[in-house]
Amino acid sequence: MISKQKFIRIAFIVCTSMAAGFILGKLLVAKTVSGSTAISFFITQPLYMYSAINNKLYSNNPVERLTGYCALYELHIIDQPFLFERYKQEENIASKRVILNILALYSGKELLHFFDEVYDLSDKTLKKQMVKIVKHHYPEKLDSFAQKHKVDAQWIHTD
Amino acid sequence: MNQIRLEGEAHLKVGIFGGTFNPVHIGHLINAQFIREEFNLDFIVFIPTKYPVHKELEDNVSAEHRYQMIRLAIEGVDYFKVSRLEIDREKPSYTIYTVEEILQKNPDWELFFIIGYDAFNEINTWKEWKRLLMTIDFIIMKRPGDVLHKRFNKYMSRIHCAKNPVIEVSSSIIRDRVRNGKSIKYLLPGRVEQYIYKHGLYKSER
Repeated sequence: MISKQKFIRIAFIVCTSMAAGFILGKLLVAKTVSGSTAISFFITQPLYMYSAINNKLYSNNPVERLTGYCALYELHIIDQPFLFERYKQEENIASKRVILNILALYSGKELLHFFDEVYDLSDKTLKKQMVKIVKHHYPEKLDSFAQKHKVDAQWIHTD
Repeated sequence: MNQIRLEGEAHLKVGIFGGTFNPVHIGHLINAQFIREEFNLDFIVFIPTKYPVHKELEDNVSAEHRYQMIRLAIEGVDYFKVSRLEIDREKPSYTIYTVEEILQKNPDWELFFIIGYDAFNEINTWKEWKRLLMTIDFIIMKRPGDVLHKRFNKYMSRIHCAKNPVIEVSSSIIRDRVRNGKSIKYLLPGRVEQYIYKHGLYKSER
């Protein structure tokens, strides 16, 4: 059971916090509107960015989605399972290529497992891209990857 | 005609050659020819900038004149095209806008941006340069001994160095020769030379 004294103390803190929040909030909005402070943008910017990226990632427009993937990369928000799934769902090569390029910079062994899974089902251009990524980022794995997927030797020796 | 609407066939390997082309000359054309062959590109699109973002445009030659000179230079060559994409755009000539506009219409095209070594080393000053490097491949025209900055190491799987010939012809040499009344024969296609004289381009003092 909460004591009366404790209840009064909590009620006091809640009321003064709300009053202070109300006054400061109003002041902040007024100052932001008048242009004399930009502090509220520090509060709203992450939310705005989250919303903007989310809109891009779930857009019907493939180029919008592509810019969404790039935004994830620029913000270092790399969710491998999400990108693996998106690679399989995307139909256009440009988006798939961007996903591969982003994954190449952040992934480790998981990426090679993913390549093993999707390589044989991928378009020739994307296959070449995967070979290039393995060649540049995982050179020690190139031979085994090439053998496993019967990679054209010419792709290995040219860029 | 080599003008292009930049939409249509899927799965093409397309080179994008951007620049001021003030004026286009044999160096641009020979390098484009070598690069198309080396990288098996289906075609190369020359995209003259309207207002260059990163440098002053010398002699104030309009985008329309520069576009027409390219059109004349590549006339009759199926695998070279010219686009008005940047000329007709209201926004500044940022490459990322151009690339995204092309991909919007042709999401299955594999794009290669053709660029000189000096310009590429300053690409980190371009708008949305990281997004650009994630989205397309780059073909760099280097000279022997040129070394790329280490900031690009992690992007190397998408950066290709062309085995292009080194041609010591530049647009500024041509502009200077016209200004000083010297011949520009052999430095650019004859039709472009005639166009320059007909419209009195590059004659004014700097």
